[in-house]
Amino acid sequence: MSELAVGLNPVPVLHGPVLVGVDGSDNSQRALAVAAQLAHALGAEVCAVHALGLMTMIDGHKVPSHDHRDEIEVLLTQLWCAPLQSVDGLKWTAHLRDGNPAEVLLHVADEIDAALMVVGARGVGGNPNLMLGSTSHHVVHHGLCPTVVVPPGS
Amino acid sequence: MSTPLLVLSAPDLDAHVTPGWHPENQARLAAALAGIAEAGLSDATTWRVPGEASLEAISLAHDPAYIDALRRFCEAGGGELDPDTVATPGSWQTARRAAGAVLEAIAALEAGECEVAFSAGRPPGHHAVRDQAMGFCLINNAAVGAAHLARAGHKVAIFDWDVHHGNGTQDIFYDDPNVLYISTHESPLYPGTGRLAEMGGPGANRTNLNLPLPAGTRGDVYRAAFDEVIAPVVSEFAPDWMIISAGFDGHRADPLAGMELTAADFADLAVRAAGLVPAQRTMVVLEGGYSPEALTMSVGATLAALVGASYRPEAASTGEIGLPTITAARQIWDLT
Repeated sequence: MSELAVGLNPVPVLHGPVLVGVDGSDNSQRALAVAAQLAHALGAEVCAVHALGLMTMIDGHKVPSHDHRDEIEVLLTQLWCAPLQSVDGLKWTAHLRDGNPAEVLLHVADEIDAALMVVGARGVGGNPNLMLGSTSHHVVHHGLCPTVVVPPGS
Repeated sequence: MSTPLLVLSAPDLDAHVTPGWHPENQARLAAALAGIAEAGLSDATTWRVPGEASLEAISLAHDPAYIDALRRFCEAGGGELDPDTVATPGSWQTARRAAGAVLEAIAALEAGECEVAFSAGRPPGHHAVRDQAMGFCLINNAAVGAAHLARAGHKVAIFDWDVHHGNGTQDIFYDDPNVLYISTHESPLYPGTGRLAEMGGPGANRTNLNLPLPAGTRGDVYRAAFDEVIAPVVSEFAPDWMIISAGFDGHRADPLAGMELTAADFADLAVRAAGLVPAQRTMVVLEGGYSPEALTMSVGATLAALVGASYRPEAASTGEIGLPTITAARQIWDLT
């Protein structure tokens, strides 16, 4: 992401991939759809990233990620990112990274020089106590690129 | 009179109640503590119920805003802090007590009350960074202890043999020249951090040693890593305290990782670590470890070795996997 000087304050120029965090949840699938639209409009690529934690959800159950790495990679590329295949001309990549979702997104955004980051909101209703641990809250406050937070569906 | 082993733990006051699916649960503490009797150390052990660490002490390792947010989060009923990490109403006091156990271990060692101290609290701490909980961890217990010692003018080595890199402890001390952080960890694995080239921040060069090892690494390579890399780096740093961030999830039976260590391997590492600092300056702080049987054997073997007793329910392991990490580390650290 480069910068455009406007007066004394440089503003970001939207050049580079659109980064989106995915985990298979309804919220993250909404974020993925928004990322696809933004990337299409900007003529940019989508970079979808899943942060692999200590535990992961498989078939409705939390299980140790360690034993399911290959299975999760298949889910990421073939199921969660499947909607990207239906967008004409859209280029996209999917990546599995170890770590906490917020830290992984911030790291990858820096690594790929992302134009934008898109994340799903956890839907905590604005309770400040529950902002602790919110991925969207953390990346908005620590990220260097513009971030789009997609609210949960009604 | 000094007791060989002081154990600081409060299983009866443990109110950090994780969901049924969670591998970091209350049964872990019972399994870890069972290792003391299993190893025949009951007569050599004094037990103490630790108090909660003060907010001032915790703030040596964490931002006050995070501490306050964690308290309010727990008081509001808790919930998920990330996909791995949960907090409940009782987590606040329980986590503070785990940090308090480390501080009381330091005080007891300084007062000459024990030869070795085992701080057995939960949840573990080494993933918690200054302003964020993660990886099952809420308060970085070992970091609170090390920060307390560093503030008092001591030089502290933290040897973190948990199978996961202690990203939180590294972050907290990366720019601190008085704390040497050493991690042996499986890579690739959560949390995706802990590269060999990370050697400390400006003004704290050569105070951060990461040894990322492949899945399947066994005790022979851990011992070689210690003798050929860790020992010379620690000797150069010359600490007066050793905190072992003891996660036992590198055990071959652990469900969360793929290392092949046995109880005897942990014992061998513990003796080596304690040998690098003066007597009555070594403490063991419980981090991860999610196989109850492995926890019992490994805690027992580790503590027995530290007090000079013999309890090796499993033989030491060998396998040579991971040797390239040692070669690379020797080059980067310029160890001849």
